[in-house]
Amino acid sequence: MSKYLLFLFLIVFSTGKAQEDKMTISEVEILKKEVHKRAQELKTITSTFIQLKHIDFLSNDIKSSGDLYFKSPNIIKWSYTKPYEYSVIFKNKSLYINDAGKKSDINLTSNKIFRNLNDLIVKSVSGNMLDDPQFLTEFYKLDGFYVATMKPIDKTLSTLFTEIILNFNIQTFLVEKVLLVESSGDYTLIKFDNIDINNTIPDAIFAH
Amino acid sequence: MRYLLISITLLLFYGCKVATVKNFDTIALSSDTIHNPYFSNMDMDYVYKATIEIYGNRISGIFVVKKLGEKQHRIVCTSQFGSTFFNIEFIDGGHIIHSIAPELNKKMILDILLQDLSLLIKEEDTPEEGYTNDHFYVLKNQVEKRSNFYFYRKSDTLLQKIMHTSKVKEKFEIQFEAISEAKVAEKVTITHQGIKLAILLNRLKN
Repeated sequence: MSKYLLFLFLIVFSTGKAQEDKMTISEVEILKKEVHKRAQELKTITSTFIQLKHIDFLSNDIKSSGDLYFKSPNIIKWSYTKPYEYSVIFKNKSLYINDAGKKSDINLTSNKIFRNLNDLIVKSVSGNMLDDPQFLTEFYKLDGFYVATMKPIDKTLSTLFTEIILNFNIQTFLVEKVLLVESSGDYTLIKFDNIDINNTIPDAIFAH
Repeated sequence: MRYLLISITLLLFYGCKVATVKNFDTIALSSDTIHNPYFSNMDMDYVYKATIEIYGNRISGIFVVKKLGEKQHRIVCTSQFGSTFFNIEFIDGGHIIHSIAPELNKKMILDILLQDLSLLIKEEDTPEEGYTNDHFYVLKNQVEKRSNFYFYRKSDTLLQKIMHTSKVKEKFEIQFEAISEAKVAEKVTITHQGIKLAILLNRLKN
């Protein structure tokens, strides 16, 4: 019996370790350097995305999808197209919302939560937050990704999310998955596909 | 003089009576029970896109209801990006707040939320009075100084709205629209009378 338990323990233990490898200091330095270099060169990103909201007690995750547009240094548009039409543009210290044709805006200078959220989203998309002192960051390799697990120190941000996990493509150093984890353990997973960088985005995309 | 006083008293009494069932006929109650079927299936995730309009501001998010037990519901509302506005469990007539955004964690807002949501998911109640007109059967339930009027359509017996009132004033109503065969309300609207607050829910299908 004890041999069987030991065997079971080894399987479970070794399975866990096989997927998740801590990155060496030099690997982390390369990742930071490449991501920083990529962020410096980055002018635009266009991408599609799929978002899954996991709530523990639900039978199924809530799925939505749409398009992302990013223009350096800090203009970003999330456009949800399924299962509803809803878009937000972070631009000029404001958040412009188009809720199925009904337009509104929020001044980010007077709203710390949205300002932090904007900052977080811009940095997540560009990946340029690995040296940010507002987070305690750990690095590892998992399922073919470089993974940065970031715990916010800032109180406002930590009330929203306890962990922000960025998955970087090992070849391109672009963020392909973002996981936003809440204190309850519920999380939002955003997966980016069809990523194009440095193509021209018409100004009309960011018009409100 | 005495008759005049009685008349004035009666006039005041009827003048102040809540207008919800004005011009309805009173009916005798038989074995009627109040039943709200719209969040009663434990196998179903009730997922809605929510729009909250409050004093000219508009907030949008995802609104989720799940029945977890005989008298147990969980209600979660999140932003589009997934951060939680509130996560509240209703169990055996009480509630547990699992999480709430600091902006909403104020007594007045919390009282309104708990009042609205507990009525939204309440499945069974005992009627104390009944009314009817050409279109509706109405069952009234009273809790202390507040009443809930449940409007059932005569055409198909479906629950169309619940009106929550004080003794003299309508406070808020919950409208259920586009009822599916599985007894799911595709659209739900909560509208307040005294404060500028409306919650609009449109069901999402994955």
